[in-house]
Amino acid sequence: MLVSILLAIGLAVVTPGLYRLLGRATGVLLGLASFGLGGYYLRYADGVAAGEIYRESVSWVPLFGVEFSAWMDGLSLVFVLIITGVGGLVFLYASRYMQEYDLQGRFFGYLMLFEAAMLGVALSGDVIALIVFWELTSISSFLLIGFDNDRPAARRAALQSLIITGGAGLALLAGVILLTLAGGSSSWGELLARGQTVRDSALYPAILVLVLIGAGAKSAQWPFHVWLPAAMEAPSPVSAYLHSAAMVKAGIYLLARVHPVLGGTDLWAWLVGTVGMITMAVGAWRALGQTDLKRMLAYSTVSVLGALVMLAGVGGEYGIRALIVYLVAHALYKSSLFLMAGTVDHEAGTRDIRLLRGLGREMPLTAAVGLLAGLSMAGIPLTFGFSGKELLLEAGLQASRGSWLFTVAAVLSSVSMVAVAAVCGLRLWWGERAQELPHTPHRAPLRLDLPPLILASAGALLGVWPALVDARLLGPAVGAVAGAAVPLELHVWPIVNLALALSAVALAGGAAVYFFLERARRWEHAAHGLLPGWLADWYPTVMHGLSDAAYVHTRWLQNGRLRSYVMICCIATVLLAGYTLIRKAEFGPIPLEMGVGANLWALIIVFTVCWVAILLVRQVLSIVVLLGGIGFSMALVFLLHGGIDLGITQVAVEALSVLLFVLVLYQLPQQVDVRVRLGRLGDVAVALAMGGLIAGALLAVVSQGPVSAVAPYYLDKAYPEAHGLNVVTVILLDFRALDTLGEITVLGVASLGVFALLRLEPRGRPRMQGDLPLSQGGLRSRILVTTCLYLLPLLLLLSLFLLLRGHEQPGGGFVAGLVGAMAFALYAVARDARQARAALRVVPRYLVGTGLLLAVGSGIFGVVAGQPFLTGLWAPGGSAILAHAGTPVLLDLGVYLLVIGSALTIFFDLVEMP
Amino acid sequence: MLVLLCITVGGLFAAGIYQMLRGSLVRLIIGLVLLGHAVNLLVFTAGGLASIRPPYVLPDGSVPPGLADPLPQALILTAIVIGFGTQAFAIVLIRRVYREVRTDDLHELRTTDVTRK
Repeated sequence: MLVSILLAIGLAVVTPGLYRLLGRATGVLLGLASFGLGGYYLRYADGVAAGEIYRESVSWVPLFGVEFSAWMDGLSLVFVLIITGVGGLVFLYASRYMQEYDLQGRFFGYLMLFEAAMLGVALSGDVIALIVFWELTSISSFLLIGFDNDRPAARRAALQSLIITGGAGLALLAGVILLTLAGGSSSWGELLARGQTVRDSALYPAILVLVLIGAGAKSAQWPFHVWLPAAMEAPSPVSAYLHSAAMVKAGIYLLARVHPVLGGTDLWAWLVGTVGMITMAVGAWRALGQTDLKRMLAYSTVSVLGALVMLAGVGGEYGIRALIVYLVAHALYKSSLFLMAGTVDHEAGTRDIRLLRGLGREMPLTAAVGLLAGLSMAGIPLTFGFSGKELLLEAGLQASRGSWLFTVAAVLSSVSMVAVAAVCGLRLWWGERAQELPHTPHRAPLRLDLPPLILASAGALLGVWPALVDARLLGPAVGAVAGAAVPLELHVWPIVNLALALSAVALAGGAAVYFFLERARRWEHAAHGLLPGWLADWYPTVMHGLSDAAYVHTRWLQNGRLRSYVMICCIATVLLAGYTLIRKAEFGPIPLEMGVGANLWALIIVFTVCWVAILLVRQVLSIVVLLGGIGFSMALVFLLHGGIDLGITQVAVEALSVLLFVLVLYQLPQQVDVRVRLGRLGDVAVALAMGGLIAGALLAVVSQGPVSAVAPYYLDKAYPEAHGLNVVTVILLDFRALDTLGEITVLGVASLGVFALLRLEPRGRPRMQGDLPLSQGGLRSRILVTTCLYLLPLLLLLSLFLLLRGHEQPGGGFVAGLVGAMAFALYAVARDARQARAALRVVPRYLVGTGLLLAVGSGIFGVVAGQPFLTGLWAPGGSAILAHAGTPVLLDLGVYLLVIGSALTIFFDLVEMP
Repeated sequence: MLVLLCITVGGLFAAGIYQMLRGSLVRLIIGLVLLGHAVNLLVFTAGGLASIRPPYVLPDGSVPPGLADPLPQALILTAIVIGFGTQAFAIVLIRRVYREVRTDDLHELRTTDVTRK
């Protein structure tokens, strides 16, 4: 069985290619393939009738106990036979009907995909697998409804059906997960055995509601039914297959499937029964008001689907018997009527029932389809539809809950069914033909008449010979839904009872409505007009509401103002982290004496003065100077607390930064006003709260004392394993080399980003050219120019020195690179960028690449030696320049080149820009 | 003294955030720079200022007692250099924005469509 599903999916995938090879024969071939699948499933019939359940399974997600498994019992068998039988005929029909369409290969592929998905739904032995195929039917339905995608109406209808069925599919997924939790398994076999456990579980109401939403949306139950009439935008074969026989029955299938597990309770009966009843009534009533033949059929389908759901809700022997028989009868007559509607549309060019009259003479075979299927739909004795309707009324009469309500609703909807059936069976064919039809109708091609005729005849045949299927096929299905064997024997001739009397009433009522159809339509329109707009058509209202809500939400939270983003982030952080800090943090005794007394006092005064001044000062240049003050104070704090490498790095960066700021801020507005005058106090409060939070959290941390557990490890291993005395450098190049590689990559990317921002212009705009504003201005000082000449080699020498001794003493690639960059930066400021570039001799961008390659290359040695990437390897012995040679030295060299390259890429480009 | 440093870190944070809230491009950069310093100092202080001896082992490989913790230092060292790169990027980005729109007012920068003044 699993193979058959996979085969169908495979067939769908190759269909477009097949169409290129075979052309129009593709549809016929797929139809035959579909029949072949049906024949294959039929082989299981005898075993299933004997009460056997066939299972196959392949482990899929073993961790969660999910299996990809197949399950074939009576219910599955009936469904797969409908799917393949109706499917095959629809393919034959479509092979002719779709001839005028483009992209037929794609159409047949979608249709085959849908068939495969439906087979998957009907044969899944596991609820999770069922969900997957369930969603696949929604998606293929979307593609098929929107097949005429150059018509906006088709696109809208496709989207609507996807949103409704797909959205409800999420509810179903939630319901199924809860069901799996409650039942302890996701496979049908286990779940069916644990029905009582599930029904007793506290999750039961939630499971029921969620599953009902999923099934209801798929089967067009009120209030989700709106997508089905809209879906009539699809080509007629799609309407016949998806929207009468197969997909809309998936919801019914699901309810029938879970009936032994979830059914039988009061909640089930009232909830499912009421939803079905309302749907049945709404569909029947609205069908009368339609002028489009397909829409009229669609609403009558909604009504029947409602009846089926109601029957699932009513349950019991009568209810389930009626459910299965009515379902099969409806699949046969409704799909033939939809195909007939397609043929009429094809021949007459319209589907408006006000125009379509008296076509019988030109289209006798099509008329025969309408008549045969119409008889079944109206429930005339000796048709299969009659059996369905009798059982429906009987089930209403026998219902243990709400009997009279269900019965009255069933009779009333039957009245409408009879009227619609009369339109399809009589009105289209008899009487005077209207003159103003878009096409002059002709006898339809045989391939358009034959498939619906076969379907309609099957309904008639089963009407006079129900023994063909009742005990063999339908009985086991009823048994599967009821959870116990239920005898099913249909009779050919009506038995005189109350149900027959009600049936006669419905027939008479239907005839009356048919004769006053115009008036009924007017009443329906008038009544519909009385409803407020949002109730009459809730879908656009909801969609507009959604988009309005999104708009308001965006206006509030995504308003494009940096200020409010910062505000929101800060307030949220202060509230959340502050709460935790106050409630949970433990402050130890704060070590007052730790640190270095008076020196720090002085520094902190400098700090404070600088940042308070920054808040007040408006001159950009003064701000830059103050920022420099803060940076150098930082360096001193580091130096005072044993961070020599940090200190010198900070000094080098600070020097470069100040240069950078001066160059760029020069081109920004010189006076920065404080624009936001309102809410200033609020800003101060937020900033102070954030600062207070950080200070508090930091105090909580330091009050626990120095806690670094890894520090002794690094200190102990630095020399024996990494041959270095400077532990900071050793950590950077050896213990945490991968971090360093990532960090220099960031630096390289930032510098290339600067290059891109400065050098690359949008297409069509001239590149900005210009020279250093400083060199034009009067900044050139003779002293500086002369000093630079000697400073450049000296600084370079210093940087090499720092690089080489980095493993033993303060230094290393980062500091050395900064100092090297500083040498050329100073040269560029003193002279100009072109001369500095000439002195460097290499494009700084290339240094970035070279450095990165060196760094990555140094890591590969480790891999070659069979160790992790970036493992440090050391050569034995040493030399005069380097105490030890090894791959970390190579990494250090890479860092060095990259830092020089990055800093200079940024610097030169900035200097050269106008 | 530790308390003093903690308060300094909090003060730097507050100043940085206040600058970012000012709605000015230039103040935004200044805020970012201040925040960068604040975070570096935060990590440094959180490492515990147990000692003022730099974390260098002796030439014979023995570890003298009372060395400063090398790990926060290694973290901060790269952070300083990367901070320089990202600051440069931010500065240039903002300069580019300023050239395109000719305003320092962040509140006027609310759409992605550039209207050249």
